[in-house]
Parts: sequence; C-alpha cells; structure tokens
Amino acid sequence: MTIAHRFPALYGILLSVLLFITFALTLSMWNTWQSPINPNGWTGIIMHTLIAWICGILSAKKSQSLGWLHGLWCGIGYLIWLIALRGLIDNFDSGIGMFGLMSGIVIVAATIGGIMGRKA
Amino acid sequence: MSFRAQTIWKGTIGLGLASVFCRFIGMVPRFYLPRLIGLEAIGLYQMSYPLLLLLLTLLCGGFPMVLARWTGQQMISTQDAVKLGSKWTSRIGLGCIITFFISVPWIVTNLYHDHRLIWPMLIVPWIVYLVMASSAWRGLALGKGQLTTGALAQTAEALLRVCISLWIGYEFGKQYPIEWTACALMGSVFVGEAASFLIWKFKFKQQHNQNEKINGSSAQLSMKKLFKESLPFTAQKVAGALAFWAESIWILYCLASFGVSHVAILSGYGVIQATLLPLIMFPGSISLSVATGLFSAIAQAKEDESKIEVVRMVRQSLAISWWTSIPFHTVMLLFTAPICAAIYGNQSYVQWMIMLLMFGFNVSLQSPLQNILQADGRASFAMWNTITGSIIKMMCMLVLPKLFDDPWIGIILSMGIGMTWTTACAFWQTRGWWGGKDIHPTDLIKLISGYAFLPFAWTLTDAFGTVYNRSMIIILVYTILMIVFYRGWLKQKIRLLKEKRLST
Repeated sequence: MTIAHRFPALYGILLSVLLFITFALTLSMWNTWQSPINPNGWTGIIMHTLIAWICGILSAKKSQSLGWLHGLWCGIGYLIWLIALRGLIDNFDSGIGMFGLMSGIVIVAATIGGIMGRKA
Repeated sequence: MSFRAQTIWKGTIGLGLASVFCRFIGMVPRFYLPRLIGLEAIGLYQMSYPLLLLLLTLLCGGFPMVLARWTGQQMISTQDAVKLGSKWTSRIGLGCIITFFISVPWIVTNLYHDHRLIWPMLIVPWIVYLVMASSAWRGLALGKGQLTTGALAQTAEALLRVCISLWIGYEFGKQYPIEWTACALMGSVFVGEAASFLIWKFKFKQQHNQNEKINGSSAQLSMKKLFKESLPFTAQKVAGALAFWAESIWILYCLASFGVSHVAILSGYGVIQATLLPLIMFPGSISLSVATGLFSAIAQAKEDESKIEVVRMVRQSLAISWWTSIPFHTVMLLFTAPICAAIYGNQSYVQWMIMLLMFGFNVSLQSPLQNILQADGRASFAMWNTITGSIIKMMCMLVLPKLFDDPWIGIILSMGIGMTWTTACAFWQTRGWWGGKDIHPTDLIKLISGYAFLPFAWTLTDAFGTVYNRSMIIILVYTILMIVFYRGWLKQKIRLLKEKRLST
C-alpha cells in the first residue's frame, strides 16, 4: 500500500501537472520557429483533454473502487490548477467562453478516463 | 563451454562475413550520393548522425551486454529478461526520448546554429526507440551464443538502407530543399532498423519457446541491479560517442573562427565523414572479425596462466590486421586521383584523402588492441585512451588549421594525431600480450620512426611536384630505410634459408 494507492486522485493530479509542464515546455521550445500552434485555442483544449484523460486512467488504476469518482476528482484538481495559472497569467481578461467549454470537456474526459481505467 | 564452441565459431564467422558484406554494401551509396544530391545535404545528414550514435550508446550500449552475461551464466530466464528489457525501454527510454524531443530545438539553434538540422533530427528518436525495443533480444541471443540472427538482421538492415538511400538519391535529386533530402536519408536508416526489428521479433519467437533451467531465482534481478551493472559498460562506450559528438560541433566552431563559410563546412564534413573515413576504415572490419576470436582465448589464458600460446595468437592477429590494412592503404594512396574523380568529378579532395590514408593503419590496429585490453580486464584503459585522444585532437584543431592554406588539411592532420595517440597508447599498454616486454629499445625507435615517417615525408617532399611523384619517392625511401633498419634480421633470414637449402 503505497501513498499512490492511498490517495489515487492526488497522484493523478500530480501526474497531470507534470504532464502539463512537459507539454508546455515542448510547445515553448518548439515555438522557436513561430509555429502555428496556439496553446490558447483548440490545440490547448485537445492538449488539456488528453492530459486529463490519461491521468484519469492512471488514478483509477491505483484506486480500489469507484474509478469514475477518482477520475472526476482528478479532473477537478487539474482544473483548479489551470484556473490558478490563468489567474496568474491574464486575470480572466479574455472572457470566460472558451475557458468554460474547456473546463467542461476536461472534467468529462477525466471521468471517462476513470471509467476506462477501473480494475475489472 | 565446449559443447557450444561449434555454434559460437559458426556464428562468429557468419557475423564477420556479414559485417564485411555490410561495409561493402554500405560503400555503394557513398560513391553515388555526392553527385546525386550534393555534398551539403550529405553534410547535413552526417551532422545529425553523431547525436543519434550518442543516444544509441547511452540507451542501448550497456544493458544488452548485462542481459547477455546473465543469460550466459543462466541466472535469468528468457521471459524475465524480455520483461526487464521492455521495462527498460518503456521507462528510461521513453523519458530520455521525451527529454530529447523537448531539447532538440535548443540544441539545433544554440549548438549547431543551423535550423535546417531539425528535419533529420525529427527521425532520430524513433530510430533509437526501435533499436532499444529489439536490444533485449540482441542481448539474449548473444548470451546464448546464437549469432546468426544478428548477422541476418544486420545484413537485411544494410541492404534495405542502401537500396532506399539510392532510391532517394535518384528520386529527390537536387530539386527539393536539402533539409528534406537529409530527412529522407535519416528515414532510410529508420526503415532499415524497422526491418531488423521485425526480423528479431519473428526469429526470436521461433527460437525461444522451450522452457529452460536457471540457477537460483531471477526475482532478485531488478531494474536497479540492471542499471548498476550496465553502468560501466555504458561508460566505456559513451566516451567514444561523446567525443565523436563533441568533435562534430568543435569542427563547426573552429572552422567558422577561421573564416570558412557554413556551406563549405557542411560539405567538407560530409566528405570526410561520409566517404573518406569509411573508406580508410574498410580493412578495419576484417581485423575486427579476426579480433573477436582473441577475446575468449585471452580470458582463458588469464585463468590458466599459460601465456606463450596466446602471445603467438596475438602476434598473428596483429600481423593479419597489419597486412590487410597496409596494402589496401598503399593501393588507395596510389589511386587517390582516379577515385576522387569517380566520386566527386574533380580533384579538390585528393589532398585530404592522402592525408587521411597516412593515418589509416591506426584504425585497423585499434580493434584487436582494444579487444586485448577488454579481455585483460582493463577496459577503462581503452576509455581513457579515447578520451585523451579526442582532447589532443581538439587541441590540435585549434592550432593546426592556421598552418596550412586549406584549413581542412589541419583538421584532418589533427584527427590523425588523435588516432595515432589512441593506438600508440593501446600498443604500449598491451605490451605484455604481444611480447613487448623483452623487446630491445632500438626496436621502439624503429617503430616510432615508422609511425612518424609518412606525415613528415609528405611535408618534406613538397618540392617534388605531383602527387604520384611524391608517393613514389616516399615509398622508395621507406623501403630503403626499412632494409637498413632490419638488415640484421634480413641477413639472419637469408642465412636460415641457405642452410635449409643446403640441408635438403
């Protein structure tokens, strides 16, 4: 019984933050050539959805039961981290429309990941 | 041990033949590509090659050897070994490849100062991943002494790579941007490795489906132990790869500081690495296959403390590598002008080729000497020889290009000095194995003068005009000097011959 088994959602959130940093680092390093990838648009939504889905699966694999709940918690935790980052970056000046869409997708993706990653 | 000796010898011979065949096949695109796609594209492709080699040695240089040793000692079952290999690939390999993928734009812009290199670099991580995925099977086959699959995979890889690179040469030509051509050439390496991966996958299933006995439980052999034991293996190999990588960047910086344009640096690097160095290393494959037999003999002799037989064997293998390399290099020295005309269509690289050929014999002597060092349990010596050699090489690159009209001659001369240093060190360190301890001091003087003669003679005969004249003068003077040096030995031989004739 490791710490990851005891707090699966926390493990998932930490992993998602690590994945987020990796993705962000890659995008910023590859942005040397003015790439058309804009992390605030649809690319960003796809990226966040992927991260939330993967971490939902991984956290549900560590849990004993209720995979979807752990996935949901994982998604919510990742969303809180994203909101905090967004507040640091632009103080929510650019409206809530795209961000609201993204938060919904992220939570749903994490929950689906939790259902998929549950032990049989 | 003896019941497997037959298969091991068969495998060794097969592997040696396969490596000679692969070198021979690999020569074909080196002759055709410079004209088809231009030197700059080849230079771009060759510039990304050292980093690929570094990643390969870092990630799959050590752990197949450890798996081979464990299976050789029957410490681990096949299934566990494959499981460990896949664990290694999925954890350490994926981490390293992601790190590489993140940092490659920084490497390309700030170390190479050429953004076009990103195109060939895009293929590099996938090649490394494929090789890593098959390297557990490589280690297992090595440990069990089944070397035929390795030979098959190597041959298939070389054939496919050569065919595809030739096709790329004819198809792409000079009509596309050169970075695309370089990327496609890297892609040919990828396809070759994919073929070898598939061969390993199918052959392995055929060979290893029976249950085998193991000594002790293989549960203790964890990733941690694998990492710990593979570290020294990796360190020895990484030194060479790291030096190779550092040199490629160092050459860029040095020549740029001497005012050579970037295009000229890329094409020159392409000429040296893609054609000239493989050409002089060609007899090295023969001496390598000769030297593999030495390894087990020396390890055996260390246990039995019977040195005399081994000394004879070592001398024979050194002589074989010497007598395969020297005639080859002499013939090449005489035919440099036609060869250069055939490959490049002009005579601008004749000087470079001659300069490299003078140091060529070092390369083919290195492999038996380093095998002796490794079998003797002094593998760290070989590593330090490589490191000090590359440091000397880099220091020479700072100074020597200033002394010549063509700065590349200085670069090649410093490469040769580094090679000579590495070989001379290995030669001195293995003196116990070729009977150098009871050698007379004057023999050493002869050896050193033999080493130093060709480069000095080349600069001294500068007044005699054409390349052909100079080569002939040097060969004549060298022969006379050798006769003078070894007249005592010659007299003895002649007397022996006469006695034999009289007795019969």
